[in-house]
Amino acid sequence: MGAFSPEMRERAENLLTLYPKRRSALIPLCHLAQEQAGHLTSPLMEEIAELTGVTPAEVYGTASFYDMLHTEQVGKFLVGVCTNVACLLQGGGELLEHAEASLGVAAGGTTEDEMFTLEEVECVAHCDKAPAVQVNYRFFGPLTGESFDDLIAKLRAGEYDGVVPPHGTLTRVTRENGIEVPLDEVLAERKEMDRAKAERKAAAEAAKEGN
Amino acid sequence: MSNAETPASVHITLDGVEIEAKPGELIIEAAERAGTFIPRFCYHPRMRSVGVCRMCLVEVSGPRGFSLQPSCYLPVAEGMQVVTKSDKVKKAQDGVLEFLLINHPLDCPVCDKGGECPLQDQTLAYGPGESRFVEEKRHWEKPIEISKLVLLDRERCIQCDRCTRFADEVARDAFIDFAGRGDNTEISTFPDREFTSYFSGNTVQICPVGALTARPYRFKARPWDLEEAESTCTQCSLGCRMAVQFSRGEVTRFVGIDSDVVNTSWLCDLGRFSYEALDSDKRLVEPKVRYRSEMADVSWRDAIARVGTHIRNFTSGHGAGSIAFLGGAGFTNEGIYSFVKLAKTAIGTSLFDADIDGGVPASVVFATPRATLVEALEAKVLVVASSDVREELPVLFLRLNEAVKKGLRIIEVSELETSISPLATERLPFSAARLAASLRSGGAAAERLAAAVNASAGDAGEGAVFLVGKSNFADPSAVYGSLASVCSKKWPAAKFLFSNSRANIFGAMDLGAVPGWLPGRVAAPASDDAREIIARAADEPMLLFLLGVDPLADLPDTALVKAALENATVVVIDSFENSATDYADVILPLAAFGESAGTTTNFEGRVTRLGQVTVPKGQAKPDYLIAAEIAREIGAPSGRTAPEAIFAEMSGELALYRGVSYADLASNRYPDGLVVPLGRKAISIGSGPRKLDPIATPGLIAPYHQGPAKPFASEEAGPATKVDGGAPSVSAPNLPEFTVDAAAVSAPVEGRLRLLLTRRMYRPTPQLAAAPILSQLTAQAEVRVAPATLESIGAADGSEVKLTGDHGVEVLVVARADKALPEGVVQGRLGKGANLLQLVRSGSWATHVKVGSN
Repeated sequence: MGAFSPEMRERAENLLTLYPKRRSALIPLCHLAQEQAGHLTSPLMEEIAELTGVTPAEVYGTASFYDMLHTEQVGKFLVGVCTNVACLLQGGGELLEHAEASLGVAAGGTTEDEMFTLEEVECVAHCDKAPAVQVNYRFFGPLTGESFDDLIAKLRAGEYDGVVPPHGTLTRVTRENGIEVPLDEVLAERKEMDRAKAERKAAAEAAKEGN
Repeated sequence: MSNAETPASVHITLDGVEIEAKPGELIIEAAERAGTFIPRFCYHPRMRSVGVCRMCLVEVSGPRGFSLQPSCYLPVAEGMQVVTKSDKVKKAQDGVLEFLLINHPLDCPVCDKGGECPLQDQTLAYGPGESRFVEEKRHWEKPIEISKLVLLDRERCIQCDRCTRFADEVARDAFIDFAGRGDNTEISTFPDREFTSYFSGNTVQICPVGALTARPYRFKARPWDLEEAESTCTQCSLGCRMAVQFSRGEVTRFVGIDSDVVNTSWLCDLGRFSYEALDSDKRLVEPKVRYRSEMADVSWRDAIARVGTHIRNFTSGHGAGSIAFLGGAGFTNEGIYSFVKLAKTAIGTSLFDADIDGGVPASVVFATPRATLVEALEAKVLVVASSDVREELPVLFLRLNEAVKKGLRIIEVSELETSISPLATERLPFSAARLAASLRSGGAAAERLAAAVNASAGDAGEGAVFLVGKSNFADPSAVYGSLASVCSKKWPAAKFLFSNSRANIFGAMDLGAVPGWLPGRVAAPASDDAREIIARAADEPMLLFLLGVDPLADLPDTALVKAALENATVVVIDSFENSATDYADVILPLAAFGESAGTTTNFEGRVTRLGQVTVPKGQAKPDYLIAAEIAREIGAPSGRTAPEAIFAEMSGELALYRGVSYADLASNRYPDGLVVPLGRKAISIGSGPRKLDPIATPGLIAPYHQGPAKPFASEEAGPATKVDGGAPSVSAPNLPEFTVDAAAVSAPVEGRLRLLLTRRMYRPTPQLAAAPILSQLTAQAEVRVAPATLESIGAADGSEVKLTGDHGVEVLVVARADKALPEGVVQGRLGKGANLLQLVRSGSWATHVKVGSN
């Protein structure tokens, strides 16, 4: 019996037909395996090798290269705390320290209940909400120690289940936890930005004339 | 000849001097031929360039002036200007080396590579001299075992991609790969799996640092204490060229030599590590004679006297025809010639069979035009109807893989999938017997083969090469003789190679150590082969000389062999203990590899010199000396006792060796030996002095071909007379006819499966058993059957099943389900744990077994 479930095996075989060379499907298949098991187990990597016509060592080599592919068990939620410049200036380092203390694991570790794996990540392009945290590639921020603990509690309680699927799930990443921002709010914000811009321009021109 | 698109040569300026280069050649190669060495790590002449180490950066002119380019990656172009020595290049080299050394542990004093290490050497020659790195280095667990043979020290690794490229593209065993990223990059196997390649030793050989080390050699010697001599591997009949390195009279390591015509620097692990057995306590080192029921150590004089007595008694009591010689394919040509002379002249028996495996018979080997390996690789089409090449002639598999990439078309004829199947353009799933029958009387198999061959090589098979060998060890040899014979009749212009795989089996054939032949490919009346000799020995009194063979392990019908050994008087001449030594009346210890000089002949007919690097262990003696002493004991004209003198006699007496001298074979003109009989272009066969690349093969000591070591005992004989006016006349005999009962071979038997016996590289041999580390890899016997068959008898995959042979013999063996197996057959893979050969009955056309649950 294969490591892929029958349904996943079918999806895997469909994926293979998309590529002129079988081995090109390697990374998509790794994601598929993660969707099934949360991480790449050895039997799954062996099956991927068989499907793509490479050796298991080559699958492992590829999987271990990419940060989004995990060859070791991770928690249901992969929590990445950004410590790149923007977040660092806003207290990302402190937030990571807090997260380590609060979850009781060092960065890279997984909690005993296998719910959370904590990671230190580079810029996740969420600088406007620094310090930012990503949970299974859904973004939260700005966070304080308190709101981080609150987030963790909610995740643990299953309050975000519709928004943050278990690690590995292949769906499009939605911003703002999938919470929709009403269009009029967006338009109002844009109007305000335009107004501020015009004001700055006028002030600059006035200063120039003053010289 | 040249036109604008493909110029014959391009001109580049190298450090201000104009040189000529071949179009498409890499800068590093053109520079090297012009005498300019560019430092490098990742570049290897036998592998694809990757340009990852950046050590070979040189300044190259371009549209925007000079820039630094990797010379191992950039092909030459007309008018290109290259600067290999400038401040800019020096700065680049300094920088690259400083970076490479950042995480390198610099544990050279305890590293096996220290003293022959390209990183060490090139740091000294091109490095900055000082490091500015004061931080903590990256740490990994010190050597991890990635296989039983190979250890990996990731701290020393510079990520040159040599081992991984070798595993992937040369060996097709990508069981190691880079894992991780950035400064955490490491060479890794798949978790909990081993680097189980047959060729893993080559990664150790080409590693430019001490990251990969081989367990049998670790901490055995320092490179500066080693001496070396060129020699030829005698583990199979491919005859890979290698340097035997030794220290204080002990063989310490084999290093592959880059010989274009044979092994392009690669060795298989069986050959590379076979030296492990040389110093084993399973060596036979004392002459022994049986007194009552005990074997006792005696002097050589007493042992030879006992042999002499036996010969005289059997000759007078039962006639010379009661004396038989089995084996000898592992001996030197000089030893075989001496034993054949002893048997056929001094004693007067015609019973001599070195081809204990019953491969393609000598009569066909001599009657068909033989190809060289290079001709096979460059053939218009290569037909492989042979045992699995990777199991029998391992390095040939690497050469075929390389040739297929360059465009060689392979047509495989095999019932089973083999290592060649993925390389082949087409696989015809026919047995040898069926194909031969079809070629003889027409049929689908013949038509398909003809279509495939004729498309490339025409009706006459011009430029086609056939590799024929025993694909099923349960078959009689006539099946394969018949196949080669009908192929040669159908395609008269085609050439042949045979995969009989015992080391010097083709030398043994050439020297008359097979039934029906005398030395020099001279026909003699037919006589019994090994199987018939054994059958006779079970009934009548016989004196059996076992020359480096173990009939219990190598011949079918084990019960019969046992009866024969019990009944006969047995003289064992061997280097290693084996199951036949229990039946011996006299044991004469034989010098092993590296302990005796001489020559050996490979499957092309290439004669090369063996290097003697040490004296024989204990009381052991070289093969030719043992033959000479027996000859003297029985009052025959005293044989010659030095290999060069015996070879001189051979080239004087036998047309086959005319024009070849012992000294020539070690000279710089013929570093790869000579193929006998010499062709019309005899004098140009050799490839001239060979320059060896110390960075490609770091372990080599001498950068040039150095020949075998000087023999211990005597001086070289002078050169033989050269052939004048063309080829020596060794006329090929007529193609023999074989009667094969094709119906009997392929007819299904109700309730039984046809047995296909195959061998593996690590088959249990006395020498493998004597090698402490290598023997751990000994193949286990198993049978493979179609999953449905296994299900029908209610056995699980991996459980034991009971095989019942045609004559009631029962064998318990592990069974594995194999989807690739055709119906109606069972594949038996010979190995340790179960003797599958006993299921085969001598003389039967096919072997059928009943598979039942245990």
